[in-house]
Formats: sequence, structure tokens, C-alpha cells
Amino acid sequence: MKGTYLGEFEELVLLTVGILYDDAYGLSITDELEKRTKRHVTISSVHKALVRLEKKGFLQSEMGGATEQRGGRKKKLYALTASGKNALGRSMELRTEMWEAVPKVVWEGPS
Amino acid sequence: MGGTFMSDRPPEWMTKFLRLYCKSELLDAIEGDLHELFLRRTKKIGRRRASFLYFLNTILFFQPFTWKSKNQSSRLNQFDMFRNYLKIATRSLLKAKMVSMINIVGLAFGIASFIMMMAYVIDELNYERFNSRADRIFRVVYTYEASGERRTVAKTAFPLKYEFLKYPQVEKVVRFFRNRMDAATLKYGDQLFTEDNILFTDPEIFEVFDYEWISGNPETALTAMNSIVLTQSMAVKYFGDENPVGETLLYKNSDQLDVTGVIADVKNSHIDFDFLVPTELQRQRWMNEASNNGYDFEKDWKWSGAWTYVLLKNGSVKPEFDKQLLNDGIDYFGRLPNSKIDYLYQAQPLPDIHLKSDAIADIGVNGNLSQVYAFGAIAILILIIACINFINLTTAQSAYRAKEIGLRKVMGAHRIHLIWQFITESVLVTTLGMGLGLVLLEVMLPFFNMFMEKELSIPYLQIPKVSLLILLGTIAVGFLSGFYPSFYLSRFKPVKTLKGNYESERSNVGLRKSLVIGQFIVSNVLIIGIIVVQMQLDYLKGKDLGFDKKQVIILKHGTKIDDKLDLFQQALHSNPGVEVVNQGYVAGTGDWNQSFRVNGEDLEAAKGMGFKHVSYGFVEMYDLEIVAGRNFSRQHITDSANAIMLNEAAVRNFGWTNDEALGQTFTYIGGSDNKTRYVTKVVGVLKDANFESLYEQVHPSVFKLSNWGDVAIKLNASNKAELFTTIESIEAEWNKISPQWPFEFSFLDQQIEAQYKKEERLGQMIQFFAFIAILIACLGLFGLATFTVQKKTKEIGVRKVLGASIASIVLVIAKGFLVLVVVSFIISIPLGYYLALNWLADFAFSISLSPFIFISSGIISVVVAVLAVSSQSVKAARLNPVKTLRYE
Repeated sequence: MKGTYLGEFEELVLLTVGILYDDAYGLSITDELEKRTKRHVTISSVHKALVRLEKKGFLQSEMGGATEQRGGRKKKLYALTASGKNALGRSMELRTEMWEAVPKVVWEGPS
Repeated sequence: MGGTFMSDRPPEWMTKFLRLYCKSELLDAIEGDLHELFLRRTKKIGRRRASFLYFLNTILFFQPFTWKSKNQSSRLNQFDMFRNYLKIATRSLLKAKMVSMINIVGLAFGIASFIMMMAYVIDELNYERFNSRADRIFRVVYTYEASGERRTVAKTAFPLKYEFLKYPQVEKVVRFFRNRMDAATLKYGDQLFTEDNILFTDPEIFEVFDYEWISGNPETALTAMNSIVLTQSMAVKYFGDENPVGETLLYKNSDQLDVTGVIADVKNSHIDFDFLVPTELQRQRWMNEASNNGYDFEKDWKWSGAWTYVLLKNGSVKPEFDKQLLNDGIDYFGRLPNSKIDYLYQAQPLPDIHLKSDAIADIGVNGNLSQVYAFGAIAILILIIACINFINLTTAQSAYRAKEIGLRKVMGAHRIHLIWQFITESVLVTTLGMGLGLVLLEVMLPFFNMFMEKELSIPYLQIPKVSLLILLGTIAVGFLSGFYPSFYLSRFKPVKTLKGNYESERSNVGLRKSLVIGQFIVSNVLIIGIIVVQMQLDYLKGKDLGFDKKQVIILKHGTKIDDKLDLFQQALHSNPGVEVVNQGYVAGTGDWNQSFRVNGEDLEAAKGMGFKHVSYGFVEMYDLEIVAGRNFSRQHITDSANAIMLNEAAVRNFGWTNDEALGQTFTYIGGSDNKTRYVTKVVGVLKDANFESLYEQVHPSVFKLSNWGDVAIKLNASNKAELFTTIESIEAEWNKISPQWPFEFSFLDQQIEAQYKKEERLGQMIQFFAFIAILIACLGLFGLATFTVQKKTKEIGVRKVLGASIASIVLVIAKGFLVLVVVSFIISIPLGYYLALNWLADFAFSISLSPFIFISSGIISVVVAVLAVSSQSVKAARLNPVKTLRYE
């Protein structure tokens, strides 16, 4: 199901929106991502991911918070939707399941 | 939102770029984020680098997810409307496929012929322009009046060069000379060719004219007497891929010439040559010839043998130069102080020579300015005919668009919007037409080049301006043809059009009719042109010239066997296929102009006449009629020295009767050194024969015996096979006597016909363009007929039900169009008559314009128009009335 598939980067963006809670917009998400992943993240790829996630229904957005700093432009503030939260949950579950499926010997090494 | 400094803001143009493509829902968020980022970076890394990164970001955002979407109904802008126009235009083109085809094909032909013609016109107008000093180069010619006729002569005497060099305004003087009297051969290894386009010239030539050098040094190329410069095609002919510089060519089996340079073939110049050789070579050859008494043309003021070009120091001194030239020239530079004839010397600007000079004895055949303009005019007319088709067909089908226009208006379209819409449509049609036209052009151009002996190509890439002009021209044609229809269509009242059947207004029909008349006037005049040119050509070819030109061959190297000519003649004497061998003047060529004075009269009464050197067989060879006196005869011993014959024109020139002329004595100065004084006596008078071209009246001429000139042979064969065996036997004799010279000959009648090549070309051009014009006009007529038939389907049905025959229905439909064609035919008669008369005025002998010409042109247009209209009307007339009336 292509529509609900969550890519790695998309997942990270989705999580970051959650972390930032009421101040999640393009630039702040980029900053947070860079801080946490220690990777260089281009702002256009973040915006692109945001647009896609909103289309998939994982995010909702509202306009607000125009400041002098932004040249009078409003922010597009994002928030997780219920299905967004579900998707994150499913992805977490999937991972946990798979973690648990890995035999202990893999982690501890043959004794 | 004041208080922001310039430095707080990212560069405006970058933001504009973002706004250009970014959709509005995302714009605020993105622009805001980037702005914030920019401010932060400015503090950290400085404005410059921040700006750069900002710019990079605006580019990175240029991705499909940010682009403005197509169906964004919230933003009505010019671009979207234009897209809509294009869409509607495409739809209406596809809906009326036949009309679109007619329009596009018509425009394609129109545009293709227009570009082709323009290429030709521009090429003609650009003659000599490759010379960087073209504005300072002038050719000296002179005009004089003799026996009531004004003549301008392109050639002047050789020593004049040194007079001109004394003028303060003159920088350089270059002369050209061609030895037409004597065909030359060039030999390299075993490659032996006869060359008839060798030009003698002065070494300074390369300081005056800019030829494109491929190898060799222009400064020293022609300074040595035994040097020769080749054009590239000649270099390839003799040497293939080798570099010929440093090789030698054997000239006329006697002089070794060093190849000192190769230049690119010269295009767009009236000075046309294959080889350049120093004049000094010819001078030495003549001085060393025993029979010439040391003849030196550098001292000969009597012979106008050279084309003389002067390079002035700067263009502004031309008036002074002209003045001095005129003053000095009147008494022939002080040499004819008591002459009654004024010699008016003048300087022709080099770029004018090709199209404006009408001087006799020019280097080559020149163009004709009015012909170039005429071709340009025809090109524009053809384009207009194609535009008219568009106008007519668009307004004719307006009824189909009426509802669309009404609805658009109701929805709030202004008139200007509709005008733009229709202009977009016509520009689309012209663009398609141009696309097809350019393909057509590539197909037609090689044929055109072949006919016109040109090497035209369209430099789309070499000169980008050309492509740009074609593009702009297309748009202009689109505007031109879309202008009226768009104004007309956009005028419709929505209330009327939406109410029901909208009939186009009457006034519009009138305009359509007059445009069709215009189209057919042009086609008709062109048809008249075809007929007139063709008839004149047939007339020229078939006209009785007063002499017999059949079965005469001219040997190219006849002059080379001077001392063995008797031997050759004797050998041929016993050949049954040979009637007579003659050395001397050959019909169809130019003659010398010589001043003759009746003995006892004063110097000023001398008259210039054509001078034709002949031998005993001349009268017999051309089957001439002697109207008084007798022929040259070997029985009269004095004949070879002092007998002359006149033609009737010469007799008239002196105001005598034929019998009075007999026994008159003349003196003249001539001979191979141009100094000997001859006293001659008239022994006979020949009936006038037109040896020269039919552009001119018969020259008053003097015929005298002499033993030099070309050798011509009259054959006597009853069929082709016999002709060829005779020629073969002559060749065998030739090879015995003169093995080092090739046996080459030409037929006199073919040579004479070649004179009218120019007319033949003109005829073919007019035919071609007339064909295109008629084709386009008929396409339009066909389209209009289709509309009429569609509109009248019911009328035709009713007529059929009431018992009309197919023929009568066709007549009803065709009548309307035929009236137009007939009206245009009537208007075209005086126009065609005037133009034909103008053209024929160039010929001394021409056809008279009989009504037959005009009647047949009229018949042709009517027949063609009927063909165009009838297919549609017959189709309509054969429809079953049950079908057409079913819904009534």
C-alpha cells in the first residue's frame, strides 16, 4: 500500500513534529532534525516531506505566527493527526516485534 | 511592516524567482522559513554567503511539489488565458480539418516561396559587398552618341590607367581583360582542358578586391609575368587534393605559368573568372608575335579593350573625381581635341554594376534591378494571397463560432480578449504553416538553384538574425491575417448570436468577394506573364534571322592552325559532308566597332560601324542574299586587299541607295598593330541579316576579307548518323594537322539559342510562381465553395425535389464564383498588357500582344476555378434530397 507507507526520513520528520508539539514548522523541524541526527538536512527536502505527509493524512496544518524575522510571512504549523500517530505506533510496534524476533545469540555472540 | 532595513531582506529578485513558480498555499511558509534562515545566516556568515545559500535554496525548492498547478482557478492571469486560447485554437483547428489544411498548406507554400524569393533578392542586392572597400571602388565607363544612338561602353583603353594614376584622388587602378577572340588551353601533366574564363589583370588586384585566399601570397601572386592564380574548383580540377602552389601549368602549349595562389570561388561578383593571369603576359605575347609589328596595347589609345576599376582614396572625393573625369574625357584626355563627338566618362560605383549597369561589352551578363524588384513583389503577393485565404475562410466560418463568441462575452470576456484569442489562433496556424513551409523550402531550393544557377541556402544558424526574422515574420503574418477576422468576430452581439441561427452580415460577404477578386487578378496577371514570355521565347528561337544557322559547327581552336589552315581546308575539300569552310566572323557573336570615313570627306564625318572579317566562303556558308554588286571573288586579285561589302543597314546609314553604294571608297585605320591605314572599295551589298542578338536592331556592318578569326564549317548531312561520321572524319584530319590542340566544336544554332537563356529562366520562374499563386488561390476557392455548399444543402435538396438537374445545380453554385473570376480577369487585362508591353520593350524584335494571349489566360483561370469549385458542388448536387431534407 503505497499510500500509507512511511519512509525513514518521513518517519523522522513525523517524530520531530511530535517533539516540537506547538512550534513545528519547516525551519524548526529542520533545525531539530539536524541537531538530533547530526546530519545536514536541506530545508526543501523537509518541506517536500511535510507536503507529502499532509497529503497522506498523517499531518494537519494551520497558518500562524507571522514575525518581523520572517519578513512578515506566516508559519505553516504542523500537528500530528490521529492516523499520523497510528502510523508512528505501527512502525514502532513493527520494530519492537522484529527486535524481539532476533535470536539472543546474535547480540551476545556464540558462547 | 516598516522598520526593516535593506540588509535584513534577501535580494528581492531571488524572492521574485521563488514567487514565480511557487504555488500560493506553500509560498508564505517557504518564503518565511527561507527568510528566517537568511537572517540567521547573515549574522553567522555574512550577507554575501547567506544570499548565495538563499539563492541555492530557491533553486532547490524548484520541484514539482511547489509548482503552481494547472487548474488553479483562483488565479486568473495572462498565461492561463493564453493556454486556454491555444487549447481552443487547437480544438477548432481539429474540428474544421479541411479548412485548417487549406490554410496551413496555403501559408506553407506562401511562406516557402516568400523566403526563397527573398533569399534570391537579397543575394542579388548583395553583389560585390564582400569587398571591404566596395564603397571606394568605381569602374570607369564612357557614353557617346553615334548615329542618334546613345551607348555606354564598359571597356576603356589600356593606357588610361596611367592617366588615372595622376589624379590626386586615385589610390589604385586595376584593369581586367579577356581574350575572347582566342580560346586558351591549360595543361598539367596529361590533363589538358580548354578554358574560356581566364581573366588578365594587374598585380594590384588583390590590394583592391578582397578575395578569400586558400593558399599563396596575395602581395606577390601576380607580380611575375608567368604566374597564375586559380579558383578552388579549378585547383581541384587540375590538381585534385594536392596543393597546386609551386606547380606549373602550360598555357596555350607555349608558356609555363607558375601557380602562385588559390582563392575560393568568387560568388556574388560581376567579375567572374576561373583563372587570373597578369596582363603583362598577353602584352608580351602580342609584342613578340612577328606579324604584329611590336603591337603594345599599353600605348594603344584607339582600342577600348580593358575593364578599368579605380580605388579612390576615400568615398567623399567621388564628386571631384567625376568632375575631372568628365572634363578630361570630353576630348578623350587631350587626344581628340577637334572631335565632334563628346566622350562622357563617368565612374560607376562597384555595387551598382550588377543590377544597374546597361553598358555594352560588360564582363558578364548582368542582373536586372526591375526584375529583382518584380520577383520581390511577386513573393509578397503570393504571401498576401495565402493570408487572404485565411481571412476569407475564417470569416466565412464565423457562423460556427458565433455561439462560442456570444458565450464568452456573456461570461465576461472583453472584446480585447476575443481579439487576442483569434490572433492566437492565426499565429498558431501561421506557425504550423511555417513549419511545413520550411520543409517545402528545403525541397524546392535545390530546384530553384538549378534553374537560376545560384547557390542559395538559408543561413539559419550561420546568421542567427535570419532565424529570428523568420520567427518574427511568422508572427507578423499571423497578426496580418488574424487582424481583420478577429475584429470582425469579436464584434458579434451576444444577444443575437445566442438567440438562434446567426447569419453573417452582408458587408462581410462583399469583402470576401473583393479579396477573391484580388487573388485572381494576381494569378491572372501571372498567367498572362507565362504566355507572353513563352511566346516571345518561341518567337526569338524561331525567327528568321536572315541567315542559315543550321549544320554549322565552330571550332574552338581554329585560330591555332593559322598557317596550316589551307592544308586543313584542302583536306576537307574532298569530304562530301563538308560544304564550306570559313575563317572569320561567326554569327551570333559580337563584332568590332570601327570608324569608317568615306574618301574625301572630313574626319568628323566618320561613322562607327560593325566590322566583320570574313573569308571567301562567308556568303555561301550562311546562305546570304546579295542585293547589289557581287560577292568576293578570287578572280579579282585586288579583292583580298581592298574589297568590302556592306549590309543594307550600313547603306541606309550613309543615306545611299544600294546601287549608289557600289564603288564608294572608305578609309579606316586598323590592322594587327592598329596603326595601318586602309583604303577600301564597296563591291557588293548584302541583305540585312541579324547576326547579333534580337535585343538589337541589325548593326550597320562592313564585311572585309582577311585571314584571321574563328574557323566555322558548314556541313551537309541528311541525317544525324551522317552528321556524326562527317564530324569524325573532320576530327581525324584535325588531329593529323594539329595534334597538340584538342578538337572541340560547338553547333551554331545551339550557341545562338543560348543567348536567350535569361528569358528562358525568367519564363521558368514566372511559371513556377504562377503555379503556386494559382494553387493557393484555388485552395481558397475550394474552401469557400465547401462553405457555400454546406449552407445551401437544403436549398439544393428542394431544387432537386422540384426537378432540377445536377448540371443546373452545379451551375447555380459555381456561378457566384465564376462571376468573381471573370471580373478579376477583366481587371487583369490592362494590368497584364501594361507589364507585358514594358518587358517586350527591351527587345528590338518582339511579338505583338494579340487578344489570343488574354483570352487564353482567361480560359485557363476559368477552367481552373471551375475545377476547384465543381468537385464540391457536384458532390452536393448528387446528395439524395431525402437525406438533406429529412429534418425539416
